[in-house]
Formats: sequence, C-alpha cells, structure tokens
Amino acid sequence: MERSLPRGLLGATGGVLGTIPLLPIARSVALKVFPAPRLPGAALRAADVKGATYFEAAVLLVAIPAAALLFGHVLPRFLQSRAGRDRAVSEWPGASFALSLVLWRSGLPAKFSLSGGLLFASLAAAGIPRPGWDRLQALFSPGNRAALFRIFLAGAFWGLAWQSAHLDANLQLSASTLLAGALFVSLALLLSRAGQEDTG
Amino acid sequence: MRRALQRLADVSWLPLSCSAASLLAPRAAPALLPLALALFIAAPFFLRHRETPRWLARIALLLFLFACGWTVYHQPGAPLDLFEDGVLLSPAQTYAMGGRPYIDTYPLHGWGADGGLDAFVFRVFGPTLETFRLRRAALTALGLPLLAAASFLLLGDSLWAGIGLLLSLSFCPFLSERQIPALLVLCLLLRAARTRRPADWIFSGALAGVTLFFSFDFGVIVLLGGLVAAILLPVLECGWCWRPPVRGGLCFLGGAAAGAFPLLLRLAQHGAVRAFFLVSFVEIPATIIDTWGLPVDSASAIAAESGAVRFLLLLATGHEMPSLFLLLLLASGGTILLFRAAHRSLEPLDFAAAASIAVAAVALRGALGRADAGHLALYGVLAGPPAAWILYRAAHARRHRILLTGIVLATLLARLEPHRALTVQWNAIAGATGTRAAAAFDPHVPKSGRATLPAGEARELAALKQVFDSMPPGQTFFDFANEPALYFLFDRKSPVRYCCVPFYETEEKQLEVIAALERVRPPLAILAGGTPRDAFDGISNRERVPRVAAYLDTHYEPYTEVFGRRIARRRGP
Repeated sequence: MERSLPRGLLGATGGVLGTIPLLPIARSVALKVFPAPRLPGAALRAADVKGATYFEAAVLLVAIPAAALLFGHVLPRFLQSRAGRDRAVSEWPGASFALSLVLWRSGLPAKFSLSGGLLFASLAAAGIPRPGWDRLQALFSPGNRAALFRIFLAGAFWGLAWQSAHLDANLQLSASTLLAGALFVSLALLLSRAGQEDTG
Repeated sequence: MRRALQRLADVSWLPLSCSAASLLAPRAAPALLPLALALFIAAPFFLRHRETPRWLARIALLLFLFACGWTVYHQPGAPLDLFEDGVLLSPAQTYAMGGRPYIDTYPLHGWGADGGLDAFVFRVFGPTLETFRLRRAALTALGLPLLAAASFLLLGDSLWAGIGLLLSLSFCPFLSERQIPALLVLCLLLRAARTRRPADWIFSGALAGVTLFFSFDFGVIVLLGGLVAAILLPVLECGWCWRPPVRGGLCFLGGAAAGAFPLLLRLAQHGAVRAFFLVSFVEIPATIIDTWGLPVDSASAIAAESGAVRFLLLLATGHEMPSLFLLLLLASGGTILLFRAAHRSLEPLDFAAAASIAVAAVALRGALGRADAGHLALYGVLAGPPAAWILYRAAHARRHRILLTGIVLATLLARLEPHRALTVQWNAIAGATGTRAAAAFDPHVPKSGRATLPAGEARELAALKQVFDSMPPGQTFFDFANEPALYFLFDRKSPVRYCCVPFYETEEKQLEVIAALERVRPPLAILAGGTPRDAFDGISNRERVPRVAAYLDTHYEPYTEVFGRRIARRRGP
C-alpha cells in the first residue's frame, strides 16, 4: 500500500495558504475604489465599506481555487513534464509559497509577503534538482543532529541579540524575513547538494 | 426474511402518507395514525403481487416533508410582528385600495413578496390575518420538500438527499417564503446542469424570471447563478478549453425573458414598468447597503490579528466569523470542481454541484450585506447542497477516503451542528399542534378572521384601534414608528409609499414624504412606538430622516400615549 500524501495536496495547501495575504491587498484596493456610506445607518456608524467586504469575499472565492489548481496541479505537471522533477518535488513551489503567509503574519506588509512567497516558490521551482522526502529525513538523521542543534542555537542567540538591541520595528521585521529566507534557501541548497552527492 | 422486509419497505409510502395527512389534519390523527399502522402491517399481504413504483415512496416522502413544514409554519395564534409582517400587509392594503406597484408602494423584497401575492389572495379569500397566515404557511411549507428535492437532484440518492436537507437546515433552521421560488429554480437548474437539455435551461430561466418579480433579491441570485452555471459548465466539461456557451446561456436567458414578460405586461397595465426598473435596479442598490447594511468582520483583519490557534480554527471552520465558513466552504467546493475538471473526471452530479455552488456564491452578497444571523441563515441555506456534495466527494474519493470523510464530517459537525438542527426540527414539529391548541383561546382582533393574537398584543391593538376609530372613514394616520401592519389592521391606506423609515433616508425621498404628508394631511401620527423599531440598528428614526422628523415636530402636537406609543395630532386644519 502506498503511503504518501494525496497527489497535489501539499502544493495546493501551500498555494492556498500563501494566497491569504492577497486579502488585505484586495481590501485596501477596494477601500480606495468603493465609496464610504453616506446615509445614516450601522454601516456609516462603523465606517464599514461594504464594497471592501464584497471584494475581499470575491478574491477569496476566486483565489483559493485558482491557487490550489496552480500550485497543486498546473505547476507540478509542468515541472514534471518539462524539468523532469519527481512528484513530491514538483509540489515544493506551492509549499514554499505558503511562506508568504508566515511573513505576513509576522507583520511584513502583504505585498512584500506575497513577493517573498513568489520568490521562495520560484527558488523552489528552479533551484532544487531532485530532493525528496527521503532527503529531508536524511537531513534529520542522528549524524546531523548535533550540527543542526548548533545551527539552531546560533540562530536563536542571534535572534535574542537582535531583540535585545531594541531596533526599529520595521527593521526587526525585515531582519526576521531575511533570516527566514536565508534559512529556507540554505535548507534548499543543502538538500539540493545532498541530492547531487547522492546521485554523483 | 429479506423478501418480507422488501415488501414492508415497498408499502412504506402508505403509513408515510397517513402520517402526513395526520400532520395536515391533526383532528383526524386519532383515526389516521392507527390506520397507518394497520396499512403497514396488512398492505404487504394485499399488494404482494404488485410492484410498487418508486416514485410513490418519493411523493409520499415529499408530502410528509410538506406536512412537517405546514404544522410548523401554520400558527394562527402567533404574535404579529408589526414591522416584519407589516412590510407585507401594508402594501397589500394599499393594493386593495387601488394602489399601483412601485408607484404607490416601494417593494424592497419584490412585488410578490411585499404584498403583491397577498393582495391577490385577499381578493379571493378575504383580507384577514387568517388568510395571510394560511397563505404564508402553505408557501413556506414547500421549502422542506424543495430542499430535499434539490439535494436529491444534485446527489441522485435518497440518503444523500437527506444529508443535504439536514445540512441545509443546519444553515437555516426555519425557512422563509422568499426562499421558496428560488429553491424551485435551484431544483430546475440542477436538473438542467445534469441533463444539459435546452428545455430544462428554458424552464429554469423562465422560473428565475418570475422569481425576480416575487422575491427580487432571490430572483437576482438565481438569475446570476444560473447564468454563471450555464456559461461555466461547457468550459469545465472540455477541461478549460473555451467553448462559447451559446446554447445553455441563451436558453436560460430566453427562458428568463419569457418568464418575466407576462409580469412586465401586468406592470405595464399599471404604468409601472419604468418605476419597477428604477426602484429595483437603481434606487435600492444605491441605498440598501447604507441604510440596512450591518458591518461584518474583515477576514484579513482577523487573519492578521488572531493568535496561532485561533487562526488555524478560523481557517478550518470560519471560527468566530460565520460568513467566512460559508466562503471557505464554497471556495473548497470550487477547488474540488477545478481539480476534477483538470483531471477530466467530472460526472453529471459535479455539473449540478457547479450550478449549486454558483447560486450559493452569488447569495453570499446577501449574507455579507446585512450580516446578522437571520440573513446568514436566509441566504446560507443555498450552501447546504454544496456542503453535502463536498461530503459526498470525500466519501467517494479513490484514495484516503476515510481520512477525507473524517475531516469533512468533523468540520461540518463542529461548525454546522446538524444534530442540533435535527433536534430543533423534531421539537418544532412535535410541539406545533400543542402550541396551536394553546393559542386557540387567545383573543381575536379586527381583520384577524379565525386567527388569534397573544392577549397582551390584542389588548394593545384594541386600545390603539379606539384612538384611530376617532378618525372619519377615508382619513388615515402616519406611522413613524416602523409598524406598518397597523394600516392593514385598522383598514387605512398609508399616506406615503414607504413602509418604514430607512426606505426614505435620501434627501429627495424625505422631501417626497413631506410632500405626501402635506397633500394627505393625516390627522394623527404615531411618532414613536416605544420599541427597538424606533431605532433600527441603534440609529433612531430622527437621526435617519431629520427633515421628516422636523416636519412632524412642526405640524403635529402631542395627543395621547397608548402602550408606549406616542401619538400626535395635526395642528390646525
């Protein structure tokens, strides 16, 4: 019996999660486009622009299925047919795109988060030749654990030092983003190299 | 054993029909229910050589569902909501006195729903509260069989139809008559989406065209939803190649035009075609959100600000933001459809699901507009069949069936609580006869027919009637307390075409109301009702229409107070 994730699930889930920062962009665009309420009512009292709600809902309704299809079906098939990736790897761009949500939730503006997500997705699509789940497991093998622990400690202490410096919030944010991105890219390169060494 | 059971199942339509009859005629229940039992035991012996058609059981089931609806919604002793019921009764009264639709009235929910149908029924059966309640119960009771039929037409199986019905009722435990034509259109649309026959598209379009004149918002929902479905289905079918959706779309639109034509003709006889288009497509869309809209949480704000656990709950179930669950449900349905289309594995029921999702997605506008629990239920009911379809798809997945079904089921159980909906329905049906019987001894009021009202409400109305009876026949009063049902009960014509204050908030409409009051000069006016209806959504009538309030202050002086209602009389001639 095959014990793997359903086809497309990883990519689709990542794609959907990564799309969520699109919502505040849609809302802010709608707030500029749709008029504020003029007549007395609950909407005026709450300064609620219903057009923004509708636009947000429409984006959610369209973007979720579209992102799921793109990252869970279209892109993986393209990568498999054109670049010869195996199935699991071809869904990595979707999983990487989910990082845009992490960035956004950690406070980065939505457009930068989405751009970051797209960047990670592009890196995942272009930069990883053939790593799979087995390589990910190998990364956490007992032989590597000490090294990983040291890397983690270094990162954590760096973060602690950064926090204690009481820097500007935006700067803190950018640094966190850079750190996350650097970790991701390092991980991708590490896995990629591991794959090349294995095949070599 | 198996044959005996099969035979019993074959005759199950007999006890079902008798049970339905006993719900419809509770007085005959002592005879009908034992008869049902006797037939259930005896019929297998009499009908053993006859094959029972399957449609008999289905008809009996639909009849039983109708009877359940009837017993719940037919409550001749229920309190009268002077606003909600008045929005229907006041225009009906205006029509009865020669008023024209959209010129002398302002039907927000649609010509038929806001008094048009009642005016017709009153002409036939008499203008009483009893007629109103009977008509309303009969129409609303159709909702249960229609919901079951919609789920059956979508999923093609009785068990799944039951699940669809239960999920629909979990969204909306008690139905509204305004939903009924839309549910009928949905049934036809689902059939059209499955069969793709031009005749089915035409029929569904025709009924959608009629719905536009009965319940305007639901008419727009089924028209737009049907059109989207007619355009989308051929594209989905060929796996995202562009195939001009000429046939289905044109048939649907042609049907809609044909359905709308006789009613437009009728409006033309009243000289109200222009007013219909102006009110329905220009004025109401321009003001409805400002005047009646209720704010809804922003999904992006909640997603940005909530903690990690709450955020995950929010994503999974729409936790703390009910309308988001609807959105996520429909988006999930859309995703499944897209994947099935991409894999070229769409089946007829998926096409029906696409139509159902399209209709439910358009209905989101209503759920998000006046974003309270009532309106979420009113429009959310259309998401019941798609929810059942998602569960069906999980249960029929080729791989990971148990896991997927478990996830979908757990989400639906947690968010919709269908078990609670079942209990609510069960208790409502079981307790309806008792409630009716208890109310039978309540007092009657003018124009109530055999219907009754709770004693307290009847006392209030009797006292009010004494005040308004002091006016000579032909004269009327002005209601500034959002209780338009009083016009019907006291047999007076509304001096203005608007049922309630939020309808005339714009500057020109306030001037129109003042002009009408100057013309009619009602001797009495109810300035305030002493109820929350004086301030819908916490915004007082005076704040909503300051010009009219100032006019009333100038031209009316305090007269009397009846059960909290401040009544004023006109100064001078």
